[in-house]
Amino acid sequence: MNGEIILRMKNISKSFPGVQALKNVSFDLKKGEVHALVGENGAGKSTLMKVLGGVHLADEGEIEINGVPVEITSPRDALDHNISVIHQEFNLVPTLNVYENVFLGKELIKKTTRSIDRKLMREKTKELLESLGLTIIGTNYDIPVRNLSVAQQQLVEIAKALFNETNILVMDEPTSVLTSKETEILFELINKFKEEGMAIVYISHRLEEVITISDRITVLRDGELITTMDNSDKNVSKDEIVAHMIGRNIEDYYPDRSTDKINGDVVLEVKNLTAKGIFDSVSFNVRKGEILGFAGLVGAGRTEIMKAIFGDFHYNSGEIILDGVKKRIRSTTEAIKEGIVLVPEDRKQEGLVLLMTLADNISLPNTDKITSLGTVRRKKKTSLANEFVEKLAIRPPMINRPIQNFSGGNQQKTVIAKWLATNPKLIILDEPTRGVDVGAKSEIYSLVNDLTKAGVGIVFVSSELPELLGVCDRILVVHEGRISGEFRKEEATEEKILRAAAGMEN
Amino acid sequence: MFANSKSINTTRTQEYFKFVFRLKETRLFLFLLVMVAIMAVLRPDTFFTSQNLFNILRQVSLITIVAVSQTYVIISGGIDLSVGFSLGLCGIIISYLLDAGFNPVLSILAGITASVLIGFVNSLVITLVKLPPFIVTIGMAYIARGLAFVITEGFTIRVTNQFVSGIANEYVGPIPVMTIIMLVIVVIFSYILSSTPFGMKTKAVGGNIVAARLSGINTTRHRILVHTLGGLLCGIAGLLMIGRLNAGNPNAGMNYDVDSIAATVVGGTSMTGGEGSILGTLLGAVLLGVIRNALVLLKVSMYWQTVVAGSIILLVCSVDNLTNKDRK
Repeated sequence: MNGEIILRMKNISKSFPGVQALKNVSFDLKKGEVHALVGENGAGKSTLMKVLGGVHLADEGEIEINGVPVEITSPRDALDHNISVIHQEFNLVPTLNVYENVFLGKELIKKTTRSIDRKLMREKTKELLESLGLTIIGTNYDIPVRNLSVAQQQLVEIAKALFNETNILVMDEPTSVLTSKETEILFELINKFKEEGMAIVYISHRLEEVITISDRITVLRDGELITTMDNSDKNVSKDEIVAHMIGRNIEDYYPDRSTDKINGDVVLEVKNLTAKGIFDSVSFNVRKGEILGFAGLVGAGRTEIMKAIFGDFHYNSGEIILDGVKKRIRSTTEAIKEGIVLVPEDRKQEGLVLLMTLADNISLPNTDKITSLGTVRRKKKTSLANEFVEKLAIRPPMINRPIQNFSGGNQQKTVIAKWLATNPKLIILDEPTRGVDVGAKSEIYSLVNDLTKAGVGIVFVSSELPELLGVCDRILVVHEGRISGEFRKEEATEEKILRAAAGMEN
Repeated sequence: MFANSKSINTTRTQEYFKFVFRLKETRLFLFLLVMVAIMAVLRPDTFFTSQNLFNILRQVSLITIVAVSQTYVIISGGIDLSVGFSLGLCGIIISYLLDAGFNPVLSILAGITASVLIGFVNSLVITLVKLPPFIVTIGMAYIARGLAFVITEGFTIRVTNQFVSGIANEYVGPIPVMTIIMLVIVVIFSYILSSTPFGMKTKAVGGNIVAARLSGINTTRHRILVHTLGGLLCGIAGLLMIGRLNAGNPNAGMNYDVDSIAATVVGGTSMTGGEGSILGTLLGAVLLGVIRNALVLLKVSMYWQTVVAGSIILLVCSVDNLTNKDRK
């Protein structure tokens, strides 16, 4: 019966080295409802669902399904309880094709030869997808899924979930890579599943969508449950959700930049930068003390543009002009020498050497400052690290601790610290607040603000629109490798940016 | 005030001891001491004599030098399966040229250059063609071994040069010259790894090559340097080997790749790169040497020796992995 409570997660706690990801969180789910889970990056949404999906084991807490306590210690257990999770990172085997992925682990076997019945698997998959009105995969059933678009891969994930008998479906950021048309199709599907009595957990950053699709909304912040709101009338306001998410008013959250006039010299000018098939004729400039935002969908080419400027991505043509002088930057070493640094979007994969200590990570691009006669001087290394640990309030201030044991926010501050130690002219920040708690976010914003007072130019790439609107002086929007919009702070709105990001006229 | 500062000092000392005890090197050293103690009781007359102990140190010198090269490569995120035949080829070239009457200095330089080139070419293919180190160095091992047979046509070449056999067989007091060379190499390379920007960058490249590149490190150049330096060490080992055997044998480098990896891993270096120490590698090599020596003195059959040595490698690494909670 719809409305019955099917799932109850009670007092779930989970910690990772250096961070308490979930503190005493309770969450329930009714049959036939869409229960949205919102919160900033790092708030614990994905962790909570990974506990449900058997990916992580909770340190404390209980899970009940239909009133019966259950132990979910592996993804297999979750499947056995008819829970399907579509993670943000897909669980597809990239080299297998659509139906092989859909039937992975439960392949259909021919009775006569005991071999895999590819024909039947293909037919069943096609049948299911077509019954849902999904022709989006077209005739691509036989090619490796890595060759499909992200939206198509998502559908393969959904199909996989449906072949398991699913009572509880968890979708983690399902629309982040979909176009608005594809999102519509997904919402129709969700409504259909709801009517059939499926219970759905819906995790998303896109608050408008959350308000449209969900019946209840739970807000998490820094691993704690803040509130659960009833949204059956679809009248929860966005501001209300945001205030819960950040735990304070937006005015106090972002630094005040209104009084600063930006009329410094141009520090970086980019003219017609082109990398075939990735980005095309990108031109812009950044002034001293300016924060220039970059918006756009994932895969629009923002990261590649930034890496090209930083000497880590090959471009075919165009010019990069620094302080009025044309430069050809061929490597990151040269970029750093010229005063350009990049805080990459994935700090664990690209920003830090996790095995190394805090001090060593700060030292990496600064070995010249801590070396004399070819030897690293421990004292110099320590004082360099301590200087920036203090400046950026990195916690705990233990410079000889492996960086992997710090929280996301402090790791990110360390990446920024290692660059500040090089005295850069221009800092490119690619998703600098991803996976960072609310407090650290606010600190990063005011740090960036302080840097501009010292005349540093900032390029701020982010997928979070409120953040861009709150921090930047000017926002450029990238759509399919081209700049599709430019807005001054006063004129920018989320809607304008979204339209430009989707390639629509404003 | 006074009491306060004293108590801080005690906790510092305690922490220091805790830190030292947690080091893999310390644990390995203790394990080594236990082994030596057991043998000293079991075979006081044959094992625990200065002659036998120095003998062990001389026996492990060659493998330690090769293992230092291997350790650098592994810490930088690679693996080198060509070290054995690289040193073998170096030895063959030196013995061949000496036999043909060439100037000894030039002959030695030619041999060592061959090993340096092998390391250099390995790294070029690894970094520029982007083939996995495993495949590249296996291929190179075949080439080096093949060349050794091409040069010698399968025969062993006698080495009579005084200098060459001298550095491998002479003693300074009770200490073999070979051991002194090995210790000098250990000290230099240990210093480079722990206290220079080069060492720091080696760990960074192996720990996370993308982050290293995005921190402004020229990772390609760095990996080439590590492999080339490794080649140099293999060359030195090749020279010492023919001196020790008084002969150049085309098969002589066999097993050095696996043995050097074993010493490195027993010494606590992570196979996935990014961390490790030269002191650990030295201890690893010595430990394996002590085990081998002990088994001989205990009159265990030669075939069983290998089985026991392998089991001890697995045991040491398993204990290390299970007791060390930092690594997962």
